[in-house]
Amino acid sequence: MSGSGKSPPRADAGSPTLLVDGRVTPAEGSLLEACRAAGVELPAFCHDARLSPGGHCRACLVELDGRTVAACVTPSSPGARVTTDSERLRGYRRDLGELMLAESRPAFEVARTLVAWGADGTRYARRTVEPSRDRSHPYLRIDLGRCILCRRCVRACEEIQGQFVYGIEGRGFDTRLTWGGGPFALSDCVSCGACVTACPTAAITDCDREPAVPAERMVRTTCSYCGVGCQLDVHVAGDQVIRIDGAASPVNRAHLCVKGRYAHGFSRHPERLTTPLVKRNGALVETSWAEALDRVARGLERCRGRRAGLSSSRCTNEENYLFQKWFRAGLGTHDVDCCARVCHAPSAAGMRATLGMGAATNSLEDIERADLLLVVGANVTEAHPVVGARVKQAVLRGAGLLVVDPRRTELATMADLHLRLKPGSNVPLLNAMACVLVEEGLVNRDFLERRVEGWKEFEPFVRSQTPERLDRVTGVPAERVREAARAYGRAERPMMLHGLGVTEHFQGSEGVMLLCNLALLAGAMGRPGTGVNPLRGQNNVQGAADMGCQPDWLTGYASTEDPEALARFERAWGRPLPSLPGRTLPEMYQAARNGEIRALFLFGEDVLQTDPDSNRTREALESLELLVVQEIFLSETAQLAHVVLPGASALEKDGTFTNGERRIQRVRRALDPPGEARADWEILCALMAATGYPQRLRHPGELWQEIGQVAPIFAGVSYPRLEGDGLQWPVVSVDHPGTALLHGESFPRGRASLQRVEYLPSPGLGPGLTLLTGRRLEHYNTGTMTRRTDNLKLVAEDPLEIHPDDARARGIADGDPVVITSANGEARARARVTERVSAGTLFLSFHFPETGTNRLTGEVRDRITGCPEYKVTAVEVRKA
Amino acid sequence: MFAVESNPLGRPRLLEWAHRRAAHPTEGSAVDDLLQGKSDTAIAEGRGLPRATVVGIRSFYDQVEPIPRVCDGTACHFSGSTALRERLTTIGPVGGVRCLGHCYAAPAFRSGDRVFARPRRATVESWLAEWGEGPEPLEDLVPVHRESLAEEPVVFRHLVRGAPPADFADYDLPAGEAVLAALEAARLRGRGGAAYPTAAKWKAARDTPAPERWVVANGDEGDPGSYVDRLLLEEDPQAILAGMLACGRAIGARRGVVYIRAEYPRAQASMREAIGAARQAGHLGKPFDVEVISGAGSYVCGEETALLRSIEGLRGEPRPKPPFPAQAGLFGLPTVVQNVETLSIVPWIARTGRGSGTKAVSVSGAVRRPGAFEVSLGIPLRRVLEEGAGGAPAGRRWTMALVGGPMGRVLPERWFDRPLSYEALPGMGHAGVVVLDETVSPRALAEHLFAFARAESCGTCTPCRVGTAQLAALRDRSGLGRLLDTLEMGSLCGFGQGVPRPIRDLLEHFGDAVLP
Repeated sequence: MSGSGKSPPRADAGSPTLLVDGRVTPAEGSLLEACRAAGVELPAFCHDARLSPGGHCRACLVELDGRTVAACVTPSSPGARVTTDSERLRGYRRDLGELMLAESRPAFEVARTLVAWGADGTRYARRTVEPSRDRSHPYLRIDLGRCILCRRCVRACEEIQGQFVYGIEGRGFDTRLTWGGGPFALSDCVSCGACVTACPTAAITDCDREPAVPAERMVRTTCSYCGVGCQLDVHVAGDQVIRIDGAASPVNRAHLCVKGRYAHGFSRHPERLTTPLVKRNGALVETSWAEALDRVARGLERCRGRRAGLSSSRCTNEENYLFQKWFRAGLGTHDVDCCARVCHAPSAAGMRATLGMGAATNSLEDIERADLLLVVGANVTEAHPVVGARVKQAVLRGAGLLVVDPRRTELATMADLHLRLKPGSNVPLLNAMACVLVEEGLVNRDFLERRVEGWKEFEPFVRSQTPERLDRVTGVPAERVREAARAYGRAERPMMLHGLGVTEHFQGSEGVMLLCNLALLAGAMGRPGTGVNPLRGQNNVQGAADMGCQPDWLTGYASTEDPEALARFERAWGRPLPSLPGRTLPEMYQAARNGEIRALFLFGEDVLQTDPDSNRTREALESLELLVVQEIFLSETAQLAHVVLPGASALEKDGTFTNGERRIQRVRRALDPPGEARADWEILCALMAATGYPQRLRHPGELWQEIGQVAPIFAGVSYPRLEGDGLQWPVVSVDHPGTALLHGESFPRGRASLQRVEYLPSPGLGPGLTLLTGRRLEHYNTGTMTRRTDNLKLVAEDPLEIHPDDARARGIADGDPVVITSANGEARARARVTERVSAGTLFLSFHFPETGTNRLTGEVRDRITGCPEYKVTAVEVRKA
Repeated sequence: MFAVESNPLGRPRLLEWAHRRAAHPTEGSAVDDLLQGKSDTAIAEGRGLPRATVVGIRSFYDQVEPIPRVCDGTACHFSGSTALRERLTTIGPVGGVRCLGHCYAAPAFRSGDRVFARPRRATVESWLAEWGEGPEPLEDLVPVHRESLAEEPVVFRHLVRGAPPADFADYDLPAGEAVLAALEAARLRGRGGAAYPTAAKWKAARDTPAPERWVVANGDEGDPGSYVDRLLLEEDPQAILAGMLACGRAIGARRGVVYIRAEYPRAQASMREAIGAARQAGHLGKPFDVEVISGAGSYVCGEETALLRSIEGLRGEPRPKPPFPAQAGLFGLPTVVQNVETLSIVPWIARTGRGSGTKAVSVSGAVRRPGAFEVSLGIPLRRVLEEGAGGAPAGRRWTMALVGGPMGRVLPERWFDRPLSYEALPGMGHAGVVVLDETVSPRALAEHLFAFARAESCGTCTPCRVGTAQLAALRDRSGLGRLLDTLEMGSLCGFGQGVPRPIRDLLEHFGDAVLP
């Protein structure tokens, strides 16, 4: 409360004070805060500093000028006299404790306090709650017999996650906690664990706390699921993770989701790869590191000039840096790419074309600063749950919310306006919104004049893109589009968040350009609480691209066509760099199929499951002379490999990840890799040595000096400086604080450029049903990790979402097995009949290999980056 | 979009905010849905509410299920409600209700929107014997005897015999400032029990910056023994509406709510009718309109913060103050919550510029002529009982009186000469009086109070939730004293803090007869 930069400095003598047990204390916040500031440890069972005050438990009673008041809900008033200890209060506390013991048997801090108060548990008959226990959920454990009805769980669920799972049922002595009846596993719970962290009595706990195994050490690290980059405190005993807590950081503020908090069991799963494997007589067999490395080195040598690599967005910056350095300088090819190709390459390209830099313009902390959030093509509460929770909280606190999505996502149900557009119609919709801004005088003239170019050519074009003209294409009534544009244009701080629903389209990069157009027209750029912010899908997809794992972009986004940059890299890397341009991932498959590439190194990618048109992908992989897969499990793809190298999970190595807001954060080794598995950077160093381009490296941290030399945006990054909350790039010097907000004064390209984009219907659209693909909360991408945890008990398959009309027309009932077919192949799933999808649209996730989702998706790609159009596939569906 | 209530101690209550989008009075609320018999699923889907929240709301209110309900308020409890209940049980399922406001004709019961009470001519036994097959042929209107013992009736200015009918001129009051000045000069204090200066409350609401403000009439008269508010709501709703209109003008509100408990169906109908007439006559509508919101059965909803939550369609649980409703009330907006009796005298004060030193007192129990009496504050209770209520029935002897309901005071007969005033009798609240004779033992009254406290505690705070359930079981006086201390010191709202008050009186005056 104190020390805010805005309040005028106050002389100590003049600041308002009160007396706590005779001690002079600043009169700030609640009396409870004042008492604690005075060093009095007043028990307050229903108080949690993260949550709004409740005033339920009445344990923090104090005497205030003769009255008794609950300190947690009483404001400090200057000059007050507070007594926290008196015979009267001691008697009160003992008696209150005895009442508490009449309704529960609390554990932990509450139990200890009641003993200290001298509460006699036999004074009143104890009530029992029946049934008190619920163990239906794979992670959460409930025992209402321990509940003291402090409602911290209720408030945590409301005020941290925004899920509203818990309620209070009954009244008087019959009051109890409820989740709406039935087994807890069937409640609305999203398993984030916020309630567990709030419960003071173990009435709500979880599978990782209940056994109470003492942790031997705690390791702060970065979550390896989505691109949010939550900070974790990993509690370890022996070679086991005991439990994971959310750490206080600007990213996640101690909150986590079901994946980050609970889905850690995969790291000790018996199916982990623990030795290298080589293919002999058609079967993968265990072998030594020496043989495996030798086989890779010889194979790569044989395929000189025809080899390519796909780096891993799941792995660290240091590993990605090494990987592309090895390929470019060691193996002499720019044929190196990463999975940004199949997700946010269009964001990078679209934003680079418009603004000059292809990364999120703002920070996650801006979610709380914005007065309006425009969420486009992103199912944030499932794919980026911790950011989703922050968005929900912002909306609950009063921020406006506009959602553009063909599906009725959770955020769509909370939105002021949900523009439920037809799949593939982002471009006309966003053009129409821009048209409204221009037509209705909602553009920021001053911003346009000072910082933007291309207005003259843009204006007549955009005026032609009226919502009334385009509503048949988008399926969104023109008036809704106008309302949305007005809300965006009138907001003081409108912030955009977008996801793969924008990028994974035929006009993906162009869709991103149009998002930038909107922000530029409204002048919503370069200020806190505004901007264009792609939500990165993978933990380190930002970093993989930053480190140069894209054929045409070197570390730090230096172009392979920039001779000055090339010279800089050649000096640092001690080798000449190839002059031929590199291939993107889809071009690599093409080249593999026609023999131009014979060796492919897949670093931590299960492309058979993730990449479109699996049948064609398999064809490409099977045509190779050498397929090396570096993995932690024998994935669908790894089964095709000639050599499989056992890598380490993020819990088992050191390094850094960069999250979607450009924040470079430390990854720290909490466990040893199992068996002979090794940290991936060690494997890469061994491979570099084996292929004649040795890299001396004792620890990944040493690499940053070199990275800083070749890439000025990282010049100030070092491990000591990443302690704490990490650094947001650009960090241009050792004393540069990092950059939370891009484009404050100017754009890297000088003036930003308004883009004219004509709508082109996707060739993937067909006359029948359109399939969208995406993620579900409980699983992560190919499910390699989450399927090997109890998340499988939460969701055990990929359901096909189908609208009731479409289901009825095909005689499909909820739960029926169905076959989905496209021009490329077929997939199988169980139908979930729901209005979450609109008529004519289907939704299917790709977490389970048996579903075969990506056997359906096809060859249509973003016109600029080649990113596959996962969000539009013409399909048909029938009962199996 | 609604403004978000800013709680000076922390973050806004988000759940409430979420509900506010769905639960706006004009569109009804989850509580209305319950009263209309909708299922949990239908309510959750229709209002966008979480399932657990709907379960919580339903289980909070006890008048949702439409079955006949026998009153177990203090007067009925000691006037044969048990026999009545037994008789009704022979017909079908029967529920309970704590106070239908027919204490002067006890016992009473409710069936649908009709309330049946024992007519004056009958005893309980003869009344029950009259029945035949079922209660339906019975008459369901037992009028309240009312008179004024004060020099000039104010509360009852339209209600006593020979008085002029409701005065529509009430609606044409001087401007807001003048009304405020009149209230201030009259030193009007709220008549609901807390006796807070009315003008100060209105000014606080007026001076809190906000896009909108609310006026709320508290018609949740739950104290057994009190029925003055019901009388006013049913027979002089115009006065209440005019008082609300005056308040709306004074604080700059455009909308008002009359919250009327579910136990008063006739009062709701009468108020709705009066609102309709006032709208037609152009008194309500624009710029100030009023609607009726029904309670659903919870005594605690008479507490102002609980009442506001109930209007919002939530569990009617009180919350800590500050912020006070005048700062952050209904839907987070500045709100004046005023008892209906207070509102009903506002027009008179505004027009006459005089102070009103009167209070309407309802009397029931062991008297010849139970009814509602307007008296000058400070009058001895005995005068009300003798002059107004006609004294004790032949052959019966007064022993004590419960004044101000279950959070009020127990006066032994020897104290009946003390003056009835907020100063002389702190805790007298709304001043409903139930007079008891030797047929009711102090222990029986104590047990009735224990049962009431246990049944109506809302469960929000620990001392009251657990403590009220332990009262009846305690067998030693020191233990009971400690528990009363805990309730009084620790409870969140006036309910738990007030439960000990009449019990302490009982212990003081009848000690051994309550607990040996």
